[in-house]
Amino acid sequence: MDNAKRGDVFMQNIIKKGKDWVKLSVNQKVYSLSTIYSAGYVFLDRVYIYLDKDNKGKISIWLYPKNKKENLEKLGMEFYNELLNYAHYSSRIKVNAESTKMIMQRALFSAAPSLVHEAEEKEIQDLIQELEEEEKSETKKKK
Amino acid sequence: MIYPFTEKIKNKLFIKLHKDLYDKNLIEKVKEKEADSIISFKSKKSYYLLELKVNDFVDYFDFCNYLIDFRRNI
Repeated sequence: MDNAKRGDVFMQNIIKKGKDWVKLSVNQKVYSLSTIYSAGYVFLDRVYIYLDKDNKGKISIWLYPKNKKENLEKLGMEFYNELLNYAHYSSRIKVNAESTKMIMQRALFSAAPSLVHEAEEKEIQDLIQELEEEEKSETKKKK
Repeated sequence: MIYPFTEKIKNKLFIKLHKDLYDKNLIEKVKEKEADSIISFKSKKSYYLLELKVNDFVDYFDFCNYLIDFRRNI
């Protein structure tokens, strides 16, 4: 099979199209539902979107362009790109969550230094409470 | 014209929404907000079926998009 034919087979597997629709098939293990919704939101002006599940458990994304002159294949590929964009965005948010939290805390503490003292106090109180509860449960066990 | 998002039961046309993809909370909120547009709501196997008050078939398409838009804003 030459490369062009291989490409056609590949396209047929990931994009199916009809007269006025294009259907994408995605694995939810790769693209979360929230990623699909986010990508869909970007396309709301251009297409009508319907989500369904096929018998293999894959998500079918049906796109019906509002403008009948849209190139269906191109539209489908653009949607796949948007999926990738949002999947990447979500994974970066998860990876950076701890750093973002630290930066926010530092910004808050430098703006209001009294917050540092309050946070430390709260931490000490929590520790004391935790120790007291441990002591209580140990005493109960001994009895 | 047959579309994947519709199902006809006894001359009534329903929009069908897969339970794994359109969660109940979302549909409940849409039902509250669009009480005048939703005639009935039922559950059938893996789908929720909604009977809509529509003037034109394009209203079904609009409703599909409305759900995507609505989910983002809740």
